[in-house]
Amino acid sequence: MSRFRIKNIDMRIIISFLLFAFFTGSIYSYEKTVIMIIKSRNITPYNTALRGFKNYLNKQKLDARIIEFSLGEEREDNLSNIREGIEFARPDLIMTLGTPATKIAQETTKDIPVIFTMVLDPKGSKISPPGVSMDIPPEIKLRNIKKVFPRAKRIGLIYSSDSISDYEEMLHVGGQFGFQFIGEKINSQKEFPDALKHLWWQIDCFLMIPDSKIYFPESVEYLLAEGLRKKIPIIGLSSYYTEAGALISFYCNYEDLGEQAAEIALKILTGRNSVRTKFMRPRKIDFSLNLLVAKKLDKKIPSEIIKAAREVFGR
Amino acid sequence: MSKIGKYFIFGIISLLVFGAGFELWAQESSQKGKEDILFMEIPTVVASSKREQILTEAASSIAVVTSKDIKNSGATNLGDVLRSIAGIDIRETHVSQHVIGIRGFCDTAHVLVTIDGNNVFMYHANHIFLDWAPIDLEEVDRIEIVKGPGAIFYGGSAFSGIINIISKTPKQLKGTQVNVVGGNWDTIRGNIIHAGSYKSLDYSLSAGLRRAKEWESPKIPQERGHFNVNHFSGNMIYNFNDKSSLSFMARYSRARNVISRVCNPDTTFISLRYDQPNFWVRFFYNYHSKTFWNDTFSVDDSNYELEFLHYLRWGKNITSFGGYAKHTSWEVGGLKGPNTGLKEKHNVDDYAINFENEFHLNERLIFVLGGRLEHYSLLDFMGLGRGSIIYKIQKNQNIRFTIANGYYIPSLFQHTNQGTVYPFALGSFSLKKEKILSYELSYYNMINDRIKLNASIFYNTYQDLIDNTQSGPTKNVADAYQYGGELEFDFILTDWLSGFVNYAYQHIHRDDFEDFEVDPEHKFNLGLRTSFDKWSANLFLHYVNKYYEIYLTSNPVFGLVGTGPSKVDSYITANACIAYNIHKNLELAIAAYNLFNNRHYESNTTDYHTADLIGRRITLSVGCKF
Repeated sequence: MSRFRIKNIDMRIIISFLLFAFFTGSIYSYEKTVIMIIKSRNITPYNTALRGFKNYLNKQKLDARIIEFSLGEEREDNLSNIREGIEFARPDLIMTLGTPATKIAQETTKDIPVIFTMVLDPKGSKISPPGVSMDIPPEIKLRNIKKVFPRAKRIGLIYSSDSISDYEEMLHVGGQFGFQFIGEKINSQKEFPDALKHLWWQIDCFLMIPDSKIYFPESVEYLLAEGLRKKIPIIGLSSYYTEAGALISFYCNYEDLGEQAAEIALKILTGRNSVRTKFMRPRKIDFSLNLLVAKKLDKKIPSEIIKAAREVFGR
Repeated sequence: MSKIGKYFIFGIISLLVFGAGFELWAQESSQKGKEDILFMEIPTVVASSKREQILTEAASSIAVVTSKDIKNSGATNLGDVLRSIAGIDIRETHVSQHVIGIRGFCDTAHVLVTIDGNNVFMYHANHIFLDWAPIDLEEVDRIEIVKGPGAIFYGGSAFSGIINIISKTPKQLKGTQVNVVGGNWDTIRGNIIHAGSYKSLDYSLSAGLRRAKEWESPKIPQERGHFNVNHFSGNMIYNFNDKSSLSFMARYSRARNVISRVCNPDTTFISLRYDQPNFWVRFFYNYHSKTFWNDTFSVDDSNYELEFLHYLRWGKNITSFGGYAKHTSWEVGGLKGPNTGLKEKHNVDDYAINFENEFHLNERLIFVLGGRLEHYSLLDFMGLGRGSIIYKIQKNQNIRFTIANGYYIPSLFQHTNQGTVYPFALGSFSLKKEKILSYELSYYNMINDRIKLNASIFYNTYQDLIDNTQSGPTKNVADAYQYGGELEFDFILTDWLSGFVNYAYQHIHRDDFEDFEVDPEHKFNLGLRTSFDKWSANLFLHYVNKYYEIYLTSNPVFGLVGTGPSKVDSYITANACIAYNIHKNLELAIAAYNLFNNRHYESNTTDYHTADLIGRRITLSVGCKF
């Protein structure tokens, strides 16, 4: 109970601050555009995307007042806080980072345009456009995998009912790159170790596809440790995975995702509504490498690939 | 039925009880946003030392104890956690005092203990007992144990090895957790840890206490029946970006009735560290203040350290170079008795540069060569080196041969105590450093998916070993040679049952004691782990062969035991722990140390206050995180 009280007090202070900032600010620049940012969490990737968003607007000389929120743990608190925030700040546009922030914003207001970025599978989460998804087109991912593992033929993956569409998409485009996918479907986390056991001997590398039913810290730690033992490279989901022990991970350029969102925002603010119905896909893909893992796997990574990596761990 | 038979029957019953099924992970994953999976914190599976490296490619033998191992063990102190490592000697002289050695030399002084790379010694006596270190088990991410001389990067205190305790980062600790342990012998251990983030700043705060009744009642007026430790810590990490950060850490502990049950040390650590890829620099302030012997004397010990390390990869090489500077001062004061109000103070400075190159000739062969040049106020210039050849026989097999030398810089007490205030354990300015030359051959083989083998043999020679005598002055008296080895298997028997077994042997011949067994020659460990749905269980058997104590384990300052060697009989202990996850954030555990109550000494049995008869401890613990 006390935790909620503390949180409410915090929010009152924030709202008071917002009120103060809004009214005092409006004396000096009452014509400024107000953009409300809602972050699902206060983490580096979201902040990086936000930096891209702000940089683009600055470059375009949009004089906007930006008000930032980070969601707390309680949904009801978040809803009421966002509502109060919108009422006081009266933003011209809301930009959200991540699924929870986007869903809450879209639920809270129908009048103010909401654009999102850093959202994985927005359709699956019933999020409406416009916005930028984090879904990397499979052909782009596979093309990159081909560059790093030119000799790899058989790629293993584990999927569940939540990620079956990703798996099928991989199967659909995998042939054109000469890959054979060997998939194991599981229904619960319990089946994960057994599914892995069936896969190890059949595959040249293992590709993780986003599925929160399967992957959580303990299962990923198990997968990475087993991958090292079996000398099978693991292709992770982000640089967090690479740092922990995956050989390589492909991921969106977060700053560019923010910039893409800023481009949409600018179009909306300037009255060009053509983007309102579109989901944008990421246009810049980065990758990270772990050279310690490469050594452990006895994999030689060509120097041009190392140079091209955005992040290299274990140098 | 023999005792060993009982232990194995207990083990088998435990396995049958808990072996009916298996669920590797019990916790439910939360579904806040699908993209959360991309930003998940994942435990690192490649361990590190001063520079991150693959363990099997390190120039020294490195063993790692993870936070999971610590949790599963049910141990209530770091000393008991370390017993499972082959080649480590732990002696519990008192409940408040676990003395550590690596491959013999079990006096704490010859092993360097660091927390996050910071040397946590009390330099006046060259020791710290982990029992009152200002860190609690739940704050530890992993412990890396380097066997053999590690002086090239760590200096003169890393004579026979290094124990590097690596704490969890605020990101790993995120949230609030409360851990409470209670048991017989008035055992209480508890802590509260809170960690979070604000923008680019990660922070953690913790506070805890430990206390217990000693195994035996006080035998002299200066001793007390209980020890207690209160400790606090704070850690802040400011992330400039994903690659560089500045961290500030402060730790404080207030211990009462520790070190032979007669000392009251307050310990303060303050560290400032900057990290970026391939480079770090750290400043560390280490302050100990204690009174002892019924508040008759006081000691203040201040250390300031500055160190940096830079490493770069070029061609087939990885080159590291670093610099180190330390200023230490200590002061002993008389609080009662004839020397009341008197003070004696000494200062020393220490500077060093080090260098190491790792050359990867090809996919199979690695050469490592390095050196350190050090200047210490009381010893002038010192130099040492280390060379290793690592050959990868196959993908999962390698062999390593290392030659390294090292030295032990005498403690300030041993070097400088003139007895004007404290008339015992007199020092000598003419004392030389102890020297070690070590040869080690080790073999690693991941035999199959389920069995991992590590084997090492070593041969060490020693020069100028120091004789601590109670009256002093201390002097260099002996040379020695030592040989031994460790054999370790880690195994996975089934999906629900895994474990380890290891054996360590060592023999030392000293000029002064010849082949007398001054350290146990044989040690054996067996550990089994199992889990079933929300239950997990752990069983650990630990055997230590007899030995003869000549120098007081319980107080390294004080030298010889007394009239003659004190025989410490061989002993075997069984520890067990059963844990139940009521909820993903709430766990209950019951643990037994020395389950069969095998009453035994681990240290001197003859002198009147230097060791206690160890008994059984049963504890119940609750840990919750929210």
